[in-house]
Amino acid sequence: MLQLIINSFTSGILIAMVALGFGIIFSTTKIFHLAHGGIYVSGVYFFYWLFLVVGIGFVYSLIGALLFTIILAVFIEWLVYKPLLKRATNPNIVLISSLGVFIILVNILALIAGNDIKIFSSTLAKSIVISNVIITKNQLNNVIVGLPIIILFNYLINRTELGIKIKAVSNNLTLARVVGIRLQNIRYLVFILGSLMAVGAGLLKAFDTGIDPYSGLNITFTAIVATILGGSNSLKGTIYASFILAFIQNISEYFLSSQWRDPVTFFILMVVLLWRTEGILKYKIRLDEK
Amino acid sequence: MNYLIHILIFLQIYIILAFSLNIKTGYGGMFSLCQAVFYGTGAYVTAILLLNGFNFIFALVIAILINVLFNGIVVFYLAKRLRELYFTLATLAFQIIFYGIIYNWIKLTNGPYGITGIPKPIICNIEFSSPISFLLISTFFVLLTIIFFYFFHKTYLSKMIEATRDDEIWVNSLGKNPNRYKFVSIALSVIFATISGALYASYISYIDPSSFTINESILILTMVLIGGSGNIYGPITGAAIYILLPEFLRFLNFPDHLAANFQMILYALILLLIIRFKPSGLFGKFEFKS
Amino acid sequence: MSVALQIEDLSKHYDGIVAVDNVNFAIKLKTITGIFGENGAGKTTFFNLISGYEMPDKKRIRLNLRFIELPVYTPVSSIKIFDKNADLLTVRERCLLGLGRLFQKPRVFNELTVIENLLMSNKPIKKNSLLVFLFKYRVVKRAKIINSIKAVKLLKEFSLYSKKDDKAFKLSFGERKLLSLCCLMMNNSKLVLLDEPFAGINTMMIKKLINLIKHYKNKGVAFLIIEHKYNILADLCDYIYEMKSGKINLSHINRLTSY
Repeated sequence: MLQLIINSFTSGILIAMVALGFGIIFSTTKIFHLAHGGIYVSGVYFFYWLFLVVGIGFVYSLIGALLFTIILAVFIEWLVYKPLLKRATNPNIVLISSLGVFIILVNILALIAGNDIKIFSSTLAKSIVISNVIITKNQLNNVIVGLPIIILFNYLINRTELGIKIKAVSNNLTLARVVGIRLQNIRYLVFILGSLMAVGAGLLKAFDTGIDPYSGLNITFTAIVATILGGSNSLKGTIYASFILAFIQNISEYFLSSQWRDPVTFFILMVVLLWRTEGILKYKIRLDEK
Repeated sequence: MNYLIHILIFLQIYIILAFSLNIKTGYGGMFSLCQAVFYGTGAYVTAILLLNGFNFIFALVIAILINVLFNGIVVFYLAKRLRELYFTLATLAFQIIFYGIIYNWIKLTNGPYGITGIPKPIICNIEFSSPISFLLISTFFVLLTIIFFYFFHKTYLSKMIEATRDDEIWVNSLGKNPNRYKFVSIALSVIFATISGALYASYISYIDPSSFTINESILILTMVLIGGSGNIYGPITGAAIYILLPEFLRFLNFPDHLAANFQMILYALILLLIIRFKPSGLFGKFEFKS
Repeated sequence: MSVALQIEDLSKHYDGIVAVDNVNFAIKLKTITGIFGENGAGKTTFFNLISGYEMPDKKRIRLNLRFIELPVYTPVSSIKIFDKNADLLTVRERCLLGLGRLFQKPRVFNELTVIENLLMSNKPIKKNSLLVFLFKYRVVKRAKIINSIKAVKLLKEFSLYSKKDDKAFKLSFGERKLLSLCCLMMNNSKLVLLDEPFAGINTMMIKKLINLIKHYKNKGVAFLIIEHKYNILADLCDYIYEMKSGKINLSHINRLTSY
């Protein structure tokens, strides 16, 4: 049982990172950025390329990968989402566009690097054993690296001026623009932040169980559920939800099989959607605003 | 020659699928990522019934009934309760849950091993076992579909379905119940997807869960988006592009192992271009606005 | 003249804010009644309560509308006449009784053409419509023809005939308002609630709208109009009331106190 909790905690951190990234993009731009999963893998593959193929050191590869992520995020926002913004498109269409971007990214990676899973350390991970609980080195990594990042992120959003601007845009777009906040810059910023979070999680995962072009999709799905469960406007909620989901996923893997992980996650999503949006039907929204 | 027939049959199956989603998304305005659920249920139910000795028409009818009663009701409930983006997410959840069920419920569906040896249709004591004879059957159904939708487009009912898509509240204000029209569009969608599923199962003689994943649903949706909705040319075009694209690549002597990925990239690119520059689809009359 | 709408003790509050405060009100047929007041006085909430989009705190609206247009092509009238208190009726049921409502942002079916909008605006026929459709096709066809004739006639009255094949989203704001009203006339509404109909349209369109309202008043329709432009109300309405903080002053307002 304790093992389950520890596993949940460490995998929950990864989910939380991706979910925070996704959540901040969604709450600020209202875009359902499914390509998040694509950026997740792209950054990792780029790191892999720099580190193992080009052969510059670990730190430089890391910096390179992060830079690449920033450029990629900005590029996608500029190329795909910005034009759609001008035309007030149906959010479903934006979702499909995002999906299209995801497909392109993933398939380019598959073309270049193949569909198989790549792992970074080939030696079996060292682990610590405390009483009858196993903590692998990678799980420790998750906590040591991931937790501070999450805390930093929180600090950024809640305490800095930039973060407040971001919150302003996500709360009330028109008012934020009236007050002088440059919307486009905030959008770029938010994509950059979100994508960095995702790639961070991706790198941690790659060192752990490896990564293949499609792993982004799975964790993005979980992140989506976490974001909606926790409330797209609430950072804390998203974080709690991520841990809860990680716990549920681990439980379902333990008691059922790993194949049930996704269906269970999405079953929760359905329940949440139906339950939470209950107040929205029956025309409770001001009619004239619909 | 056989290969040509093979392509043609597949084209027809996908045309019917495109029409089935068209009535739900194009006319009904409900963006759905769960079309493969209807498709898959149709395939599996038909397969099981055919293997138990029932004839094709009977199996088809029962499959339609089961599909509408189970899946149709679920989606109708989702459509009643959720709007727009949340509806789409819920259909995504439904799709993934469905996949989990057919993958894991080995007693019913044989899980990942799939169902083999599905017999070809026997109608009026004639067995349609050769490809050409199957082509007759599939042509029959595809013509049936096209003619049905051609005439359906002219009825008041289809206009009311479109009206519900445009402004549900106004429909209510005029004294009509939008739920009725939603139900009709969902039911029609299910019925035609079932036909596709039945044809697929019977033709390929082997089905397994991997044909009915979220990827399949996404592809069906992109067919409708690329081809356009609101008339009969759209779905035909969308299906044609999807089916003929790999053939086109093959014609250009593209290396096979790269072809699958490249095809997806090309397809997603087309999708993004259409959304950007011709949002109503190549031949569609309707553009999704917010 | 008989009363179309009788409201007794209508109240609605949200979390401590009183939107509509014990309103007692009556509207007679063949009249035009105007309500004016500042923003936030509760006028739209009042409309929402009447048309059924919101539930009142205390229950007492009486809708005495019994002028249901019997569908032409069903042999037997099977629409029930609702004799209960209107607050128990849904939006749709109130519409069937003859209540029609226009919104501040005109609602139309954007992707349908103007004439299709009208054809779809007819009141629904009785419940067995599927059976009627399958077995009495000639009856349905005749009904459709009558429907089309009526639609064309209405379009000409509203001078929208020239745009009959344009998709509704192509119409200008004012034309969409006209189309909305036209759809309600197609729907045979006997009491029409107009929410700021003269906002955002030019003078010519205002004149058109005024003439149409007067025209239909003479045909027996009652109108209840919310508007800011007092001068228009003064010209048009038989009765004018002021709504302030959720209360309606049940006295005619003198022109001297106009804006």
